[in-house]
Amino acid sequence: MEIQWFVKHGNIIVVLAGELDLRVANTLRQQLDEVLEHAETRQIILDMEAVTFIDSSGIGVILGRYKRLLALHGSLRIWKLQPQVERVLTLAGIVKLIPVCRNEQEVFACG
Amino acid sequence: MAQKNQVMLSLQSTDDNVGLARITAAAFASQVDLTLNEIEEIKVAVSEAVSNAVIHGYGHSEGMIQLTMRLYEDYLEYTISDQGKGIADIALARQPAYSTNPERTGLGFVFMDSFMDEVNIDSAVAKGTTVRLVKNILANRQH
Repeated sequence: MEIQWFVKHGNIIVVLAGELDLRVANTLRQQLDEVLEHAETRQIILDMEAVTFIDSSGIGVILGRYKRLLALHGSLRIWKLQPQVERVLTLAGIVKLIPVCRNEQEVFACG
Repeated sequence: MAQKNQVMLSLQSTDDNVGLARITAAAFASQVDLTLNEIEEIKVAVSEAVSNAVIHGYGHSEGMIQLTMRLYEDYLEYTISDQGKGIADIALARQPAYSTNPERTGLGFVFMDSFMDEVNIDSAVAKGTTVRLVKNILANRQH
């Protein structure tokens, strides 16, 4: 799994895609940590429009980066969730912790 | 209750096979008229059970996982079995946010309980674990 990221309006937008499960969890964790370590800003937005599946392994990676960012005085937001992925994140209580933004206008203001 | 169909799949315990297991589980479910949400729920629950076998049952070491899928008149049944280290305290393992690994969320059984109609766990230390997941089928929906 290769994640893409770019900087926009002082935020790092990380584009995730595919199925976030046990198979990709370690690689995803390493790649996100690399972004956190080398980026100039710690305001991170996860673009999850192309994520089609998530289970507790994928959620563990997101939750772990959220905790890390909090410790670094950064922030994490999620952008554009597919309905089936949003259901799983809602059940896990993630949407209460991490702001979920619906569109580009909202994403730079929400959270 | 008469069994209408059965498929058994034997998987090597690897991260790569978690996706294969849940796609197969979804394909098996597609012979009955479930909603897309219900199919997604089965995928998440099976993914969690197989992930548990890989991570906890075998501790990422070698082993085989058996996924048995059965269709009955009014429910689908998935059993996921491993011959790994077993669960010492099932009640504790089923608690939300319980995990033996700090990098894990402990949400596996929460998802299984929430997304399936019945979840049974049979486990013995050093012998293995069998998780049985049941999804009810509404009678008027079946083909």
